[in-house]
Amino acid sequence: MFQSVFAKKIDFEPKAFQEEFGSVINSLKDNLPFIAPELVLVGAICVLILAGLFVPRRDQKGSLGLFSLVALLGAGWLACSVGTSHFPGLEKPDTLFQGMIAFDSFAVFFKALFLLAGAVVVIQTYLSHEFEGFAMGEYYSLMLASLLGCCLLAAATDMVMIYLALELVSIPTYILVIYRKADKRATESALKYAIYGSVAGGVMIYGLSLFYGLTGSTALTSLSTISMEGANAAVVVIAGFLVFAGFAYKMAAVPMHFWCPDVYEGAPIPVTSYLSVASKAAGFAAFVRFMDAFGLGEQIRIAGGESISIQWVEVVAIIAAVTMTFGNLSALFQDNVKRMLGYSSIAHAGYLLMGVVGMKGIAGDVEGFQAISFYFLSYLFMNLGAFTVVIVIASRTGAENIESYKGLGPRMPFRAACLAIFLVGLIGLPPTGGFTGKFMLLKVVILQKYYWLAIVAGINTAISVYYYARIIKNMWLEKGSSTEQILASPLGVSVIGLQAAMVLVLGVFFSPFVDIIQRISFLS
Amino acid sequence: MNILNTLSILAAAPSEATAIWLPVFFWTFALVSVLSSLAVLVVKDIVRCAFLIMSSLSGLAGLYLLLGAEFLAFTQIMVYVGGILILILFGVMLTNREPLLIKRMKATGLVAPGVLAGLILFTAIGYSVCTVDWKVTDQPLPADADTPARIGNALMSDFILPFEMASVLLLVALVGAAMAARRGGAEG
Amino acid sequence: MIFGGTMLSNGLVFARYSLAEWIQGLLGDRLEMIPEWILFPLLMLAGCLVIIGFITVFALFAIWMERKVSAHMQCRLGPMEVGFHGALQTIADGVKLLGKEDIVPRHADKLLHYLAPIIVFAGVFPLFVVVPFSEKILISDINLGLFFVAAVGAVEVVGVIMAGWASNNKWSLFGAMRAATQLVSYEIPLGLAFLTIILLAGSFSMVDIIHQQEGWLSNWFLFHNPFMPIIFLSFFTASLAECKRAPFDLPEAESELVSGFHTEYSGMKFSIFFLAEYAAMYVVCAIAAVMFLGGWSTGIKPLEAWLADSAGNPMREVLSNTVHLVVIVTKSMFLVFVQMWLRWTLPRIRLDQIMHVCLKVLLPWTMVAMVATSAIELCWPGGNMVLTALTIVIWSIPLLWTLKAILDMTVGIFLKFVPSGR
Repeated sequence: MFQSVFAKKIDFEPKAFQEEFGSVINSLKDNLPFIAPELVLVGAICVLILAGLFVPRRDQKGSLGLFSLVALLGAGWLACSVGTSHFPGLEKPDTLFQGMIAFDSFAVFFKALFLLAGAVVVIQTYLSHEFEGFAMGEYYSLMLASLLGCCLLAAATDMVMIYLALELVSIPTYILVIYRKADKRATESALKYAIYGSVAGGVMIYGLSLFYGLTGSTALTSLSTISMEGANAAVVVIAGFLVFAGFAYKMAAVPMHFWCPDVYEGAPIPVTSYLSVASKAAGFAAFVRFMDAFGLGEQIRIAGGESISIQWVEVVAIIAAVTMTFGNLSALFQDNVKRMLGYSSIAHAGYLLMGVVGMKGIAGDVEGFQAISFYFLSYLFMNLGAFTVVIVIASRTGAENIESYKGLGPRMPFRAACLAIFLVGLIGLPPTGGFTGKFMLLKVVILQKYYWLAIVAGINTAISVYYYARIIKNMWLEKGSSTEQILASPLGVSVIGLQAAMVLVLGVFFSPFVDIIQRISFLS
Repeated sequence: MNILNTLSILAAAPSEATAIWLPVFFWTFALVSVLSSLAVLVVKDIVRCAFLIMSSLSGLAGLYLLLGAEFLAFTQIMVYVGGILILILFGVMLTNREPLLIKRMKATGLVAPGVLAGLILFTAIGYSVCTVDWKVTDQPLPADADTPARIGNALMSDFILPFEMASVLLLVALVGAAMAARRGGAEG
Repeated sequence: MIFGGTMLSNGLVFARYSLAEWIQGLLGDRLEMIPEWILFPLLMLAGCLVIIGFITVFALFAIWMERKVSAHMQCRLGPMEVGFHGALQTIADGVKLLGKEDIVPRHADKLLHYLAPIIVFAGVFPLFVVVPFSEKILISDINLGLFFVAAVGAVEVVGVIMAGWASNNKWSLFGAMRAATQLVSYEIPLGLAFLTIILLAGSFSMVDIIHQQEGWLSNWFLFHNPFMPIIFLSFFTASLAECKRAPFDLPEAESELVSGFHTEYSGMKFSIFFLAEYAAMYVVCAIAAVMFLGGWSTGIKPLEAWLADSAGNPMREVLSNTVHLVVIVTKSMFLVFVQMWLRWTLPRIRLDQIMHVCLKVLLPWTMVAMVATSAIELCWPGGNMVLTALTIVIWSIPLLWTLKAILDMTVGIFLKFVPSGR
């Protein structure tokens, strides 16, 4: 009975845990190199929060911005290098962390896209006048946290992870929107955004829990094993719609789009441009992966001698058509550039949903999401570029109104020309990347014989010419009140120029990019 | 007969006789949570509403307890009753200058769509719950199921990535909330 | 049924009744006549009655003790009339309170006013389910013990706010707001202290935590490493705030708020608030004793082993339980005494100082101590003798100082009774 108490303590829990989970833990350790970009982001977030306390307030926008830029580009480089080549001595697994995230070229492509978008947004923040004298440590750390969420969302293959990553994308952006607290519009829009986000998240988790009840597992792969017996078909539809609410909120697709114009108008412009590209793309990446796992095409399953099919594609096609039409028609009547770009971003969500429609068909038919990927690549440069010019104009002249763009062309010829290129790209006219992207989207829709959707998209493109061209017209053809030249900063000009060049390259010499895109798949 | 044995039997495999109490507990908790949720809609005094939310959440905790999810039940009490509810009450009391705050929402426009949306969601979920042959396990949990240890092991192995990412999320949410609450925001 | 058979088995958190054994001894063979389904709620009821009995007796004693301690600290005698040195004074007061009129202010929210004392009591009462007295004398050793304490303890503040609001009185509301701020804030250091102990013991269960500290005194978690006394101090301070005891008694600050959130309560409702407050005092002290001071362990290894060796020796078992009961109650009562001592020594601090203490002193220090303890636990799982020795050496100075202060005081009290020559 005189047993050593210390001895008793030592062979307590930890050892049992080691034996039982040792192998799992070891496999998790092997997974770490593959989330190197995410780890870099987490490290940068912590550094930024602390640095915000010590760096003098007036230097924060520049120095912390430079640090974030380096971190983002480093993470992006890591994402590409880990994704394209093997680390020495490591075997590339299909899934990481017990099936929580995938490691495939689709995820790698989107990660690189997000991090590039993040880098551009950081530069935009530097160019913007909106943050003079602000504490920026929190701003950049929130931005990076949201990007971390984007990266995880594109890779998530588990419902737990999808939900968590979605919240990690959303919650930091609520605070980014309200970052200029003195601005009444910002406060109002942040509240709307947060309430919408929590409702969408709550509805989504209802759907996810229904799926969990149907499959007994949270893994996305188990979605294809749902047996469609009797009443289950209706439940699958219900759960599908509930989950869609969450994705639609991120994509700003029609039933969940109401937050979009208000938030775009109220938020600081760099945040708006971040929301319009990175967070939207993250929503699309997760939605595409979810639909792929769901067996989007002919979902026919034999149950009790009866075959039941749920035509998800029809639903997505209708939502796509409604979304693009609504976005374009509303954008016609906007005077504020940010608000107009908000509605235009809703319209683009509609165009991009055409790619999901294109995913119908036999398994491994990847053209649909390849089109989405390419469109996002060009949308990244077009939309971010347009926002960069809008930021520069707002910083130099304080104008956010379309009327006040009159006569800007001669006052800042190069940047105004670039804005024209971006807007032509957003319309989808050659010779820009917007045309190539829209062409690919239309192609997959037509291949699926959804001619009506292609026609709707064509009509919408025609409508959109009006409001995009109005800006170009105001800039070049109208006379403004002033003819004074607007100062150009080397950084701003070079960033805008590079983006315009990329839009043109994607429109003319697109074949190398298409090659890359065609290698994207859900297989590593 | 040894009463300790009786108790261990009670705990391990409830006999038909003790199962009598099961529905009693279930219906008590269920009625508490449903009725107080309904009352939240009807009651005009907003502070009373907050306290009704508490009883609704506590009823849910009781249901979790009956399902054998003690950890979840206690977490529910700690997070909702001890945290979120206090926050709500705090907000209500700080923003209100009158002794009894009455909800003054105009009963126009919003009621019908709200009721409609609620009904649709209720029908959809109720239909799902009632008609589907859910994947339920018929294996009883062992009486000494060490749920906290299981949860801990799961969090540290299968769910380690979500667990760690949740910590990042909480960190930035905390920093952001402090920033947003600061007088004057990031400028102050 | 959807909720099937597993529900009760796991829903029966309160699965281990030592009480049951006692009832069996009482009833013997007649027990078989009682069907199981009646036995089950009866046992629960019996458990509740035992807790209520303990709370009442403890409160009777503690209130008397508080008055005596405060009196002697202020060179008074305190109650002397009823019973020996006023020992029955509390009973007399209790009877008086029962007879008092129950007054509800006219514009109060009657329902909430009525419910508030019940909820406050409901936040304290269940905690006794997990408070252990000895191996056999405990209501239940649920495997989530400390977590249960943290969760249920959070309910009390709802009752306090309810009381403050329902009274429709400015002072009550101020008291309630202060209580909410304070209680919610101090739950954080409290939780961190819980976490550290859970980390060391590898279990939430109170009995497991005590078993981890058996053996010599050096096994107590208080002496585990040089950082544990920091955790202990932080826990004790936070628990003072959670009990709304001075110097953290802002919610009922007599000199500012009449008597805070229970200003508008009288008679039995007031005494329920009072009962809950004293019950909470015992609970936090007993939990501190379990977490840091080895619970019922005497701290003398051979004695513990001798007591534990009770195979075939029922008297030894009775003796063991009695010794353990006395030990843990003594430890807890000592901490209760320290609470009273502090109340009559320290002035009340301001609200901003309360926040400062919590967020800028307790929180960082507890955090540092917790991280350090985890690191130590990682390097030397189960503790290290050198570290324990170091702890005792480092902390002996303040400890000895404290002991000296106690000695001075007790000797001083005794000296007062010695007739002086002058």
